[in-house]
Amino acid sequence: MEYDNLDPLYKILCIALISLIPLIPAWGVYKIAPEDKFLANGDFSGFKINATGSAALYIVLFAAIYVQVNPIIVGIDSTRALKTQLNAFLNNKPWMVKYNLTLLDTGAHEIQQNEYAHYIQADSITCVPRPLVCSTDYKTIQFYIDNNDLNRKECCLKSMLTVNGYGTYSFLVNRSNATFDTTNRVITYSPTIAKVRPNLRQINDLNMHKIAVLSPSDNNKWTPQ
Amino acid sequence: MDTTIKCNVMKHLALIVIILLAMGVSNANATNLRGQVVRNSGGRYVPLANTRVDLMYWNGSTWVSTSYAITGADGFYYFNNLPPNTRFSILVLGHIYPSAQGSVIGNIAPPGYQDMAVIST
Repeated sequence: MEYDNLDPLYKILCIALISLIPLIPAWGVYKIAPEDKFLANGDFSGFKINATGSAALYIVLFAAIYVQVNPIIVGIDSTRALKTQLNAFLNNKPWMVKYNLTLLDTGAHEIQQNEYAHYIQADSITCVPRPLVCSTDYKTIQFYIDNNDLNRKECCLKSMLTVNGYGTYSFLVNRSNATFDTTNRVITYSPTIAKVRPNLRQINDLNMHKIAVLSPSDNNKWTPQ
Repeated sequence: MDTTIKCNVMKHLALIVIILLAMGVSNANATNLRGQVVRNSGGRYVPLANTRVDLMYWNGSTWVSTSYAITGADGFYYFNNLPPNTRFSILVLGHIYPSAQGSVIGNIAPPGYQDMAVIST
């Protein structure tokens, strides 16, 4: 049983309270000073009113509060309409992809926490699709994707991340390596991306002829078939 | 007596099965591969950045590109979560490396990497 639409009950409660609240002072006047001459006559919403005593007091108070009833009920209706629109938007908002990143030094040990900010900044990393936000500890990166990319049968999203000093990481996001939170429309890429800082001295070893290179030749020329 | 013997045998068999399964699980690693692409500039090697590097798998008759990476400013490229014991090669600017026969992905537990030889274009 769902309780998400209690607005009709709220409306009934508002009307009931507004109808009952004037009874309190009217009853008080009836009990304390029944001889006092209150008089109420005139038109109210097309009705001719001619009342005295506590009845007159009730009618006057009811009329005064009644003008507040409509805006409240209209407010409940418009809030309901806004909620419906918001739910429709949330149910169709773009999916967000989230993945965790761990940076390691050349010895494959995680770098210090305060070093993450040096490497992970929205304007210093290259991410496809473009990163939306990095978490405050710079270890979680999120970006939006087009819903059409997920609606395809194979449901596989290609993504790429380049971190200065750590190179590029390409990965595929699909249902076997990511968890899909359909309520919040968040896809969490399960494996933590661990990047090891490359050995940049390798280029020096190359130029000192300490290590060999692979070179292009006719033997390794590739012709697509 | 027979029942007791049967129970003991079943217990030992279950233990053997568990150990075998654990061994299987511990061998199911995915290997990360990385390498560097350089170019020869005036007799010195310098990193070759922003160059596409394709990872090729052998499908029995030809090499097929399965994914690609773009080299960073340092010339390095990375491929992650590759199945061990798979024949692969790297395609850079129309040439297959390490050779036309390719190589085999080893079994290296992350975060370690299997390093490819440096490729010069």
